[in-house]
Amino acid sequence: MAAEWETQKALYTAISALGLTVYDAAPQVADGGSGANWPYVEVGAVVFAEWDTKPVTGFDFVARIHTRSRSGGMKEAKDIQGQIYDRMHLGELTITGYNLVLLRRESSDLARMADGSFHGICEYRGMIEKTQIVAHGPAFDSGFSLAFG
Amino acid sequence: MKMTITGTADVAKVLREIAPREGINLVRTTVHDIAGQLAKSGKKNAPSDEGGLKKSIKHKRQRGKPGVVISSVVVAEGVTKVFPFYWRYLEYGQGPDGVEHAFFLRALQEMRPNMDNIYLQAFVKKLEARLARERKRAGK
Repeated sequence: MAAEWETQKALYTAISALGLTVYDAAPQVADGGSGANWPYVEVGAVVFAEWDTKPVTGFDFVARIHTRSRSGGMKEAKDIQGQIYDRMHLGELTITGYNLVLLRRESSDLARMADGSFHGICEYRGMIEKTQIVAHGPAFDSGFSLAFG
Repeated sequence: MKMTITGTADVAKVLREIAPREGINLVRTTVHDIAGQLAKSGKKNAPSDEGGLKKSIKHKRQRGKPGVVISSVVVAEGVTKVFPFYWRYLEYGQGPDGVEHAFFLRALQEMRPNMDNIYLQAFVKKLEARLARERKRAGK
C-alpha cells in the first residue's frame, strides 16, 4: 500500500468524521466559480520525506489542511480549525500498513481573501513507520505433540 | 599552545570557555548558511513565471534575542525591482487557478531527512574557514 494514498485516506476519514465537508480538490462550476458546499475543508499538499531507521522504513510528512468559509467573519473558519486541532493534534490516525508515531499541528493561519471569503491554513506534521510483520518460529502443531506428566 | 579537540562536546566547551563571542558568531554564520540552503531549494521548487519570484527568494539575518540567532527565508524585492506579492497565492493555492505549488514546504521537507548532517556540515565548514583565517592572520 502506498503510504501517500493511505495517509490521504486517513486524513480524509478523520476530518469527515467530524461532520465537515471535505474535499481533495474542491469542485468548480463551468464559469470557474466554486461548486463546493461551504464551509469546507480541503486536504491540500501532503509532502513526504524519508524517515528510515536501520530496522524500519518510515516517512515524515507535513499535511496542509485548508479551511474555507464564506460566513463573513473569522469565527466559523476558526471553529473548524479548532475542531480539527482537537481531533488531530497528538491524536490518532489509522493508516493501513503503518504505525503513527507522532502527529502534531505545527502552524495555523487565517487570511481574508479578495472575494471576502476566509482561508485557514493549518500544517500538521506526522511521522509513520511501516508495520512490522514478526516472523515466528515453527509451532508445535504439525503432527507433533508434547505430553507431560 | 597545543589543543586537541575530540568531539562536538569539546568544541562546544572550547567555544564557551575560550571564545564565547566567537562561538555565537559561528552559530550565526552556520544558521545563515542553512537558511541560504533552504532559500536555494525554495528557488529550485518555485514555479517559473515572467515575474521575478525565483530571484526574489532570499535569506536574511534577523535580530534575535540573547542566545538566539535567527535567519529567515523571505520573498523580497529582487533585481527586477518588483515585489512578487503573489508568492503566497502560489504557495498556498489562493490564486484563481487554485493550484497549490507548496514550494517552501517542499524545500523544507527535502532538507528534513538529512537535517542533522546539514547542521554539522555547515558548522564544520564555517569553523574551518574561521580557523584558516586566523592561521593566515597569524602568518602560519
